Amino acid sequence: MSKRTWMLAIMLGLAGWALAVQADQPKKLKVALITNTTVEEPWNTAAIQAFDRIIALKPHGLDVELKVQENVAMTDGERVLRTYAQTGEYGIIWCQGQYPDAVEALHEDFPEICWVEAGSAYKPLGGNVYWVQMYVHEPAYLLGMLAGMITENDTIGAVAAYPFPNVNLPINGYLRGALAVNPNAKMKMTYIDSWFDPARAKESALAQISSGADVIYAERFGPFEACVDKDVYAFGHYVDQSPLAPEVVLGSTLALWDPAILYIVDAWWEREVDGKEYDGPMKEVVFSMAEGGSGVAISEALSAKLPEGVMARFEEAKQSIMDGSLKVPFSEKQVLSD
Amino acid sequence: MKIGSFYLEKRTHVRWYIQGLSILIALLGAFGVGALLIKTTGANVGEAYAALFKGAFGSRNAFLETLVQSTPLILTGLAMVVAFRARVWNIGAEGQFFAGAMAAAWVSMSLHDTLPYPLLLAAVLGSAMVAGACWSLIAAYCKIRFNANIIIVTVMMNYIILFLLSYLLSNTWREPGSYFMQTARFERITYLPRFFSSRLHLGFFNALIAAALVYLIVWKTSLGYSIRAVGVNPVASQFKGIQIKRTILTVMLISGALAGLAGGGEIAGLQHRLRLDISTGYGYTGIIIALLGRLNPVGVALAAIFFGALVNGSTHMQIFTGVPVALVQSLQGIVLIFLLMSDVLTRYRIRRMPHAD
Repeated sequence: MSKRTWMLAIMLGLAGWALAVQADQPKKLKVALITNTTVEEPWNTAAIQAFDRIIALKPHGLDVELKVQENVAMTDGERVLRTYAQTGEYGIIWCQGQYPDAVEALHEDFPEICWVEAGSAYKPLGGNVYWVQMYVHEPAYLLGMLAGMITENDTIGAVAAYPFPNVNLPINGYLRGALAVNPNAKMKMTYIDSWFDPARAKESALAQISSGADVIYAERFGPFEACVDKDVYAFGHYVDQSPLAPEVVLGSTLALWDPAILYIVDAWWEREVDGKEYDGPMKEVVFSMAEGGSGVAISEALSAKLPEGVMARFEEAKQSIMDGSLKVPFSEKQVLSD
Repeated sequence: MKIGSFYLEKRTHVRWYIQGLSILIALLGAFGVGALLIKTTGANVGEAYAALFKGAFGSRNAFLETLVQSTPLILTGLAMVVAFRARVWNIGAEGQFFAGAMAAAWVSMSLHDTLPYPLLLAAVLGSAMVAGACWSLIAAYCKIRFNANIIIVTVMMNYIILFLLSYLLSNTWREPGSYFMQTARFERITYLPRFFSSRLHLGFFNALIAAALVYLIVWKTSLGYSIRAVGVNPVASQFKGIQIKRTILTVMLISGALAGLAGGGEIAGLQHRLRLDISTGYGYTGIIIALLGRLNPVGVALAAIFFGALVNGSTHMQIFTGVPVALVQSLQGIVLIFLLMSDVLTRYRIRRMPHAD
């Protein structure tokens, strides 16, 4: 054979090999998402919405399939997570609910699975465990600015779950935002001591309104009804909640899990395709608002009715957060009522 | 009892195979209704039930996990057998379960470095039984001293202990720095031994031993004779010299101890920390278990394993057929309804009223 024929043969061989490798790459990724509560809970809804966007995006050309298992009690986590792991079908098991004990007990038995812990209750384990966190203090700061500007009584309110770090964080952001534009603003703060107690949240909001608050940040479900009754503005949490009460919900923080999901899919892909072992960092992974990890939704209908200049100031601050010139203070301490 | 032109006549004797058959028919009826529910989710009924079965018994691990799930149910079911045989309606197994869990947690937290290993486990489980019995004693006292309705008292006690636990978990017992209302994880020395490299722990074997003991007590001792006699006819029993109050007291103590042991076993064998959600209503499910098992220890063990299988298989069923886990919860309720119906039909005969003319 001539030299040219050799060259051709080698090139063809290389091309074939490349095609073969391409064909070897995984086409499908199954993700199990396990939650403590119902999928209607905003914390869960936000994650599922993000997964839907990732599925449409097809990262690495993958067909991502999401399986959601809701209402799994923390005490039942180990059994349910093991059942998913044992099927051998799931590349990623994403704990949107809190199962620290279960993941700790299981992750070494299933080294091929990428275990994801989403939320606050975890501690870093490294290896095939990735801890992703959601901070929405930046959008909460922006909502706080709106609250500070639109309050007529100089009194704003917030109804939240427990005085826990990840709950206090957005509440602090909200308060700082309000004080930044309205140093006279007073804060009415209620912790309802539950993750889900709409009746109590509504009562708390009513109490705050009757003591002068005229804009309420609903960190939990429930206050909107009170706000509709008393005709005061409200803010939602984690997902755009304006459809729930379009006449009062001026805006919502958005928990955007998209960058976190892509980060996890990459980790899985690199192991599957490049043979790079999982290497979960020994700290929580967070994506800021500028990185697309959180956002803010504003009701167009309601914002159009606001006084002149309010939205302009809001947009300006939002821009400053996005370009890094405005750093929202990070505080997880308990907020007390004024 | 009259229903229109029909009335119910009590059968004098029901053969054992008729009883077995009635349970079988009740289960078939329940699964039939369950099939309709599965239809509404759009899944294939056969596939869904096959997945349910496979998830419960399809592999060695699945089977062992089914036994793990059945463990607390066997014990709360037995607690009901002892009480219901004497017609003492103890609906407080849930609270007694928590009393046991709390005592086990307390011993695990405070005595783990003072007692040597096997003694420590005995203390953990023993304290659980004592605590369950003590919690049940309060209801028994109200019944004996004031003739209070035992159903109402035991149900109320269930709420009281949950609030007590809620208080402890938000104050003294709370894990420092924790996000949740829970204790810190207990020291490894307080864990019950596990077997077959699975989650199957000593508690399951305790439950089997308890089943044997309940059988011996209720059917082979004079106390058991009193229990059954009081259940069948308290007035006649009294005339025969059986002390009703003492029997009620004993029954409630045994019943509470069994439910307490269930709580202690879950804490020491499985959860290793105390939380408010350690029970998914084991105390209440125990009532269905006891009825399904025809108030018989062997029946109770089988019924508990059946319910454990439903719970354990349901996850597998949801993964592979999309039928939600909630189906199993409704299935448990449907089983109870069919069971009560078949119970009436086996124990009574429907007769037409004789015409007056």
